[in-house]
Amino acid sequence: MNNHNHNNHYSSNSKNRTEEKGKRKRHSNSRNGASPSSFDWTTIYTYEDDALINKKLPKELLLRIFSFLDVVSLCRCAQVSKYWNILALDGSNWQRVDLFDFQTDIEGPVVEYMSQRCGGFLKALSLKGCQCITDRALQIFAQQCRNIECLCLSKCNEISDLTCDSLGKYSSKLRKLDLSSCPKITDLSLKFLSNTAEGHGCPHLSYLDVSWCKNITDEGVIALAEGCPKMNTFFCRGCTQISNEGIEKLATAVEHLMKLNIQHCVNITDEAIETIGQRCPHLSLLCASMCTRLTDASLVALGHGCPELKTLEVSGCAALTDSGFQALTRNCHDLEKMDLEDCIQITDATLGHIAANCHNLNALSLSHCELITDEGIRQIGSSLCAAEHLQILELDNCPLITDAALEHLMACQSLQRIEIYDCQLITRAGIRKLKSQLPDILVHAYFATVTPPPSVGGGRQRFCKCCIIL
Amino acid sequence: MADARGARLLADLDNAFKRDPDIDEYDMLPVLEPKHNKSPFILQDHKLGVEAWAVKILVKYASQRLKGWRSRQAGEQFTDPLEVSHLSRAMLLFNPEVYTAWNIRKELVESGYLSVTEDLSFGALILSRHPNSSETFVHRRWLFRQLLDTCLSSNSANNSPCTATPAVNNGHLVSMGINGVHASVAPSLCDNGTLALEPSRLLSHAHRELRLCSQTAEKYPCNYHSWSHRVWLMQQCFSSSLEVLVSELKATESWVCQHISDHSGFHYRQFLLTELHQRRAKLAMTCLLNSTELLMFEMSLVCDLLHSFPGHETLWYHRRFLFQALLKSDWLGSKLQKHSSNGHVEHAQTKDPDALKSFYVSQEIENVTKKELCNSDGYQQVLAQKYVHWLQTL
Repeated sequence: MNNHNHNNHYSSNSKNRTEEKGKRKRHSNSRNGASPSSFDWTTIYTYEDDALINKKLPKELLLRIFSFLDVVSLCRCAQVSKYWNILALDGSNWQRVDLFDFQTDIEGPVVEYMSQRCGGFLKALSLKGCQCITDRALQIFAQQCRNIECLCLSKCNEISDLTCDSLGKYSSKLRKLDLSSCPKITDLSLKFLSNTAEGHGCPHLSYLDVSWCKNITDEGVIALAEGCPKMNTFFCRGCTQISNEGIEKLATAVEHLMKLNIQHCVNITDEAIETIGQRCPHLSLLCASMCTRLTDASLVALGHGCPELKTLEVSGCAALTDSGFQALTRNCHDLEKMDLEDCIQITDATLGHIAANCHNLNALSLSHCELITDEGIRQIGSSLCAAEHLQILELDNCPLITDAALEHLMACQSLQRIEIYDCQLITRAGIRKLKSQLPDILVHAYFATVTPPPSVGGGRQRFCKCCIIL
Repeated sequence: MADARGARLLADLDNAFKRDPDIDEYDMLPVLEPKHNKSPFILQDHKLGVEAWAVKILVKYASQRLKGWRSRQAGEQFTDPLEVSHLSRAMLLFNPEVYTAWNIRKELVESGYLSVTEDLSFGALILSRHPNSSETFVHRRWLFRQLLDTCLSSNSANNSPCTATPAVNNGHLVSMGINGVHASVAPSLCDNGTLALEPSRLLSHAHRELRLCSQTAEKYPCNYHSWSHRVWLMQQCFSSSLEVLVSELKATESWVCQHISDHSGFHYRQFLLTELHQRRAKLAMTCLLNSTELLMFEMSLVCDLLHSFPGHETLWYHRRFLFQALLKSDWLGSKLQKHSSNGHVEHAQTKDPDALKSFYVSQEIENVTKKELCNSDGYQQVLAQKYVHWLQTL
């Protein structure tokens, strides 16, 4: 449903009324140019106010009901009657707008019009995937909606630094900004957003995502760190130009860095992580997957300095070994999610350390960790976390895993999904045994896991045709 | 359950292609059920084997996701273009006639996520297993048109009119480069001395395409799509250049002798002969060849084959074409009326075209009756009789 439609609500409205009139055996609407009828406009108005819902509910309650509706429903309500049009388009209903489902239909004029209508009410807007949006439209938006707090512009390919210039000038209340996959964004945007350029900047900015904006370099990150001290979530996946300098400055200058995602930033080394360990005691999420230069020193530093760490993703960091994880888990007892895919040097010893120390673990990925054996899984399975917390376990491409490992996991009551693709020693029988103990579990293996339906009518054998016919 | 395996199978397939980008053949292995918890993809020596049970799951998964992406469903809209190309690849490897997937690849080529060369080599891979896939050939023609467009635009941008003899071309700069070049790939030097790379690149693609046509024609008998594609190549990429047509005639001669029941192959030669005959004046000038002589040579060839291999309808139909072509040509006016089937040299008695025509028809009937009808039996006799019957209706 296009936002433009509500301009036409009179013509569609009259058609509705005509049909209703027909039902009530009244003559056709004089607006359509038919023969003049026996009633006039005043009759129509009183009919409208007579609608039961409008009589029973005062304006405030209607507004409250509308506040729960989404964009499409609101626009439809706006077409019902003039009264509802005013209420539905009242700014208070348009505080959080998500145009994700409309995407390429959304063009500049739509955003501009909406900015004017919503004005200061609009607090959260998502334009994710709206590829036709331009800087100009967003400039008008920024000028009109000064109270914006959360803005998502992910995948809006056309926007450039000018947008951040506008945001820096007008959107002083901006807390959360998503600019991922906007290839034209450069360091200048980060300077506009922080206080360092002329203008006001966004001092309250706490969440910034510039993933896949490949032009971002350390310079921008440094400016950002200096200008937005409240930054606690920073995602820069795929920004390969960022190096230790930017990350260290970020860690030092902001007050409470909590979530950091530097996936694919291949220039990052242990130094940056060590600085993080020293300066960010409240770090809860670190994703450094594919940062191949990291070694155990990083894990040691994290172990020392970030006891609140909950999520650690280091897939692809092949230099990490057991001793690093030993140091990490010694102090980080809150770990809930660990992704160790392709950390090929890991052995059962790491699993032992995890089992002993991380009692809240709910997701663990060990794909392609070829040295893992059943013994490591036994330790996990008998640990404190296993029985209650462990939900997801990925063991695909661990060739030494056998059915014994599955037996060790039978006590994990919360286990929802286990991946065992290419664990060639696992048999159908082993999987069947596990499923009999944990009936709700999803076992992902190459075997077909079709459960035959309970036979109706005397246990006649049913063939699963898809497995035979291709 | 099946869905989960679908994602994994797609990832496995992608890994196989990543490990070995030069895969040139693939096939399904007759394994109906996974006995071991092992990946169904086997890669060795650039050959890919896929266990049969995995195919249905993979194709179903790919088609579901592609449909979702195409119709912009909620979860699927934002699928990465690389992922979309992998999905379409998985789909087309086992189902090349689904032109929706090909059209998706066209969109990806147009937006630059997929290169034309990549897609051409992928199509060649598919043709190794499905040599008679019409949609693959249709897609290749589209790709070639894209190549031609870029070639033309880049050449006009370079402002490089290549030195060329005025070849009979309809604006295709390609042909300018190949006059005097036969089957080799030589980049053409332009006036200002810079190498015009685009036409040579196109030329190399076109030659590779010809090889592909030969291979697919070899793999699948009477491969209509492959031969039509070859005809298209002649017309569009080589601009029906005379040298190429003549060389094609030579090249296919031995093939046709080995595949005497392949009507499409013979039809291709008919196309070549027609083209050459239409431009016989030019042909005589540049290649010093007489198109009528070519027709007569063909006639003698077909008659030889008819003797050696009785009972092949294709040869008789080829003979019909040749006879009609000879009738229509200036054979009527020419001095040489050698009928090589019986070695006699007949001379025309009059110059009246109708009388001449009926004379030659009756000659032919006599020849056939003498040689074929009497000496053969069974199916050959039936065919010969049909031929005579047809001659009588001329």
